[in-house]
Amino acid sequence: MRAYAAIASRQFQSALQYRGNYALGMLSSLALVLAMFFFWHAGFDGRSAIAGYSWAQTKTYLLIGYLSANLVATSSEARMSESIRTGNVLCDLLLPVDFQGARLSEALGSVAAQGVPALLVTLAVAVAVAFSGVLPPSGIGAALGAAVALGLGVVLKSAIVYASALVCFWTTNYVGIAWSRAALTNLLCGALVPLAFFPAGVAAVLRWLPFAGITDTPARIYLGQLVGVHAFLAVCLEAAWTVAVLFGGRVLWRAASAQVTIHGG
Amino acid sequence: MAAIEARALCKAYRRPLRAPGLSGSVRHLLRPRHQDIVAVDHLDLSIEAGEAVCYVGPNGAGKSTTIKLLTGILRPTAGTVRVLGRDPHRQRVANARDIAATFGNRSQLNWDLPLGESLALLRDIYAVPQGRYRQHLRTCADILGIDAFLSAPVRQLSLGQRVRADLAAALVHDPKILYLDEPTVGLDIAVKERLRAFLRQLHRERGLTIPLTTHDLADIEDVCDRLVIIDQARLLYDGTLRQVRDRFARERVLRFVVRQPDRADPAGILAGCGPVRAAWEGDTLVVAFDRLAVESPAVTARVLRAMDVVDFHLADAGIADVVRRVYERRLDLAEEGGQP
Amino acid sequence: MGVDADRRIHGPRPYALRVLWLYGRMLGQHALARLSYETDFLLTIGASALTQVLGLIFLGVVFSRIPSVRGWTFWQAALLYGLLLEVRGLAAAFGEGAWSIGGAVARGELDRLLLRPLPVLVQLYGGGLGWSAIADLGLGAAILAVAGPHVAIVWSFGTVAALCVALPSGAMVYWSAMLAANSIAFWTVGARGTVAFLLHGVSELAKFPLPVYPRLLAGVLTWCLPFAFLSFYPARALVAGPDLAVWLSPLAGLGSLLCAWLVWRAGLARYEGTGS
Ligand SMILES: Nc1ncnc2c1ncn2[C@@H]1O[C@H](COP(=O)(O)OP(=O)(O)O)[C@@H](O)[C@H]1O
Ligand SMILES: [Mg+2]
Repeated sequence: MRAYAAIASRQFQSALQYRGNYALGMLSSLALVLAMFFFWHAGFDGRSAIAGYSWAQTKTYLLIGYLSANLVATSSEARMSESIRTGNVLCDLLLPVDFQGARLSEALGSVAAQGVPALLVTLAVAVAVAFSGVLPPSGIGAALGAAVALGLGVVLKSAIVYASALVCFWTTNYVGIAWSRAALTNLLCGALVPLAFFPAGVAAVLRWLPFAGITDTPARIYLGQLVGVHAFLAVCLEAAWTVAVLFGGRVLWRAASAQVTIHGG
Repeated sequence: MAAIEARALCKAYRRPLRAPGLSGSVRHLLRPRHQDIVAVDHLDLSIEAGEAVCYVGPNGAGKSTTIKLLTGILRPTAGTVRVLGRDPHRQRVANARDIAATFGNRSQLNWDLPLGESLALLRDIYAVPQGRYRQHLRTCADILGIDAFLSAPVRQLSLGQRVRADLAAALVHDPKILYLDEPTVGLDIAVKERLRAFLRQLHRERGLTIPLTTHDLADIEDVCDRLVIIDQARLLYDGTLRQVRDRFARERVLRFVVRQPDRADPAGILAGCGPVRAAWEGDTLVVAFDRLAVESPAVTARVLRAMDVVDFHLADAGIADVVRRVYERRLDLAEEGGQP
Repeated sequence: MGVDADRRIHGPRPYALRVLWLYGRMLGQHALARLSYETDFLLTIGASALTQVLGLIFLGVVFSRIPSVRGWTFWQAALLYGLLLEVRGLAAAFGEGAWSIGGAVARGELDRLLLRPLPVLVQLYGGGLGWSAIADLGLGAAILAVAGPHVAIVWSFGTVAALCVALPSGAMVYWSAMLAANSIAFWTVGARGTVAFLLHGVSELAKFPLPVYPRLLAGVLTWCLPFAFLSFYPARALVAGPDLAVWLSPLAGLGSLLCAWLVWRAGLARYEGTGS
């Protein structure tokens, strides 16, 4: 356990190391969330509700989406691809720690470095737009439930990032992989559009997929759309997916590590 | 005008100063501080066309930095460099046509391409006529044996093959100056020999100017006629190899293994040879002396006459020894330069 | 060994032509080398296609709920999206080299390029094509083909001329942005494309029509980071006929190019390599 804590802390430090890098990463996602914000703002022009969401609810949902999207850095993909390309993966493989554990610790280290300030920025934005009405949580239970779901979502997303980063064993182009992974998770988890805006059947299916746990579940709990047993079941589904994706990552890793010898010249 | 001329050449790197650990990282984030690292300090160097100069010094002495300054990769912090009459950094492209460089620990070739394609691309970059290119390939095949791996991607080459490939690539355009940064590092003895033979030939037959850095002192004796020693960014010594050898590498050691040694003081036997130091090491008599002041046959004859010698062995202090003593600060070449 | 008297030299002699020819030759060589990594190649293109299809789905979902945003219908927005894919694809196809700057600086690989008698940028960009652009270009063309008939395009000589001017200019804007952003690596070694990711993120704003954004942001996207020239101004020229903005797009393109070049020069002057 100490080893993993050390890895997480190393990652935290290296995330802090380049301060330009660091501030810009946050700005980048802020640019995107602003784009969405303005787009929906324009979309709500002259409408009171879309798919049952008021403008205030949509705004709140998007804010939670921004938060969840930024708690996990994409840099772990970059880091893995880099180490595979330069052959460092062999060194990593020699360390007496579990590879997946190490990568997840790194992701959590970045969460501390990147996610916490993202949280602060989010709060600042929330406060700034509070006058135009970002909604408070619908109750104390909802607030706690949303926090639990969001925390679980961090692990879930890290696991997804890890699994997709393993694809770097088969390609040298992590930029493309990272982008399409981001596009996929962001769209299907609800970070760009509330899942309720999809056609009803599609939305129902999407809520069964692993991605929904990242944004949609915490956001709906927060807004009071998921309460009681439904909320509990949604969090259970999220937990189940987390375990499943972690396990899938292990299987993929075993397949991928067989590739190392081939790439490792 | 010398082929390479450096005057008061300086290079300082800027390095971020960061205390270790988490708090250090955070503090650096808030207030970054830098430290200047002087890698080359007021270097004066002049290399004539056709010279092979060996550049030695401990790790971090500033050898690679000097090479990068001379090749135009880096811009000097202060001072001037002239290579074939040009400023190699300002007139980078023009300078690049006339020089070549290899860095032992890192390939100049494209990792993904087969060696043959890389060479052909270089041929076109330097606009080398087809006939000369074919001839170059033949020479490289004969001496370096690169024909065996022309079609392999560079990433698949062994270190020895890669270094040979790098050398072949560096010479495609028939440069006037060839800079070599640790050309033999990590190679096995056979490849080293092959490489040195090739360098000797380039130097003697084509008159190529070769500044090279190395830690393998055999490179010096095999290839170079001039030795430059630097340490901690400063020049310690600059002179011909023969000078160094005759001034500082004069000690010769003879070792005689004797049957049933009496271990008596050998001074009596050796009287009349000149100034020698003699001592017993077990059943071996060790005699050390200045090879220019004392004649070895005289010493040998006396010992053989007086004792029952079963075996004997002769060793000269080489350049390696001198350089080691300089590194260890036991010898100051510049100060002792005046004495015989 | 006899002297081989063959004095032929491959390629054209005049320097500018020769540099261009060498650039093409390097690209060709890399294309061949790259094609041998089939999986990598297909994954790259597949990933890019997936990204863009998801973007299109997003647009579809959004417009299924609202018929028009600030006067732009779904098909018009799709047209704009298709134009963005084309322009950005064009720039990305020939802009791959910019992404290698960060790594080359961090690992000291520019040393190698600095030893060759060719401009460093030519060597960097000659280092590979952006294959993912194939997906963008193909998909963009498909979207334009499908969306075109649904939009009342004002076809005229002026429209065609405007497109011919605006599309390359837009590509220049994106290409320059990526060069400038990746050159930041000279200042913060290890930033590894973060700024470029940021700018690419900002260029995503060009997926929506400009009037969606508040005045200030629209101004920024026209005057500071002129990403509005990637898609919005050309699309507006198609929908409403050419206007002044689209004719001024070469200014945006050349201006961006100049800025990027200055950043690159300043960065290269700082290059110190790595300690071996
Ligand atoms: N790119 C660089 N940035 C910072 N410091 C460097 C860099 N390159 C070399 N140094 C430092 O400069 C000094 C000289 O390095 P170098 O010229 O590589 O020495 P040598 O080749 O003699 O071993 C060393 O202290 C090294 O750490
Ligand atoms: Mg060195």
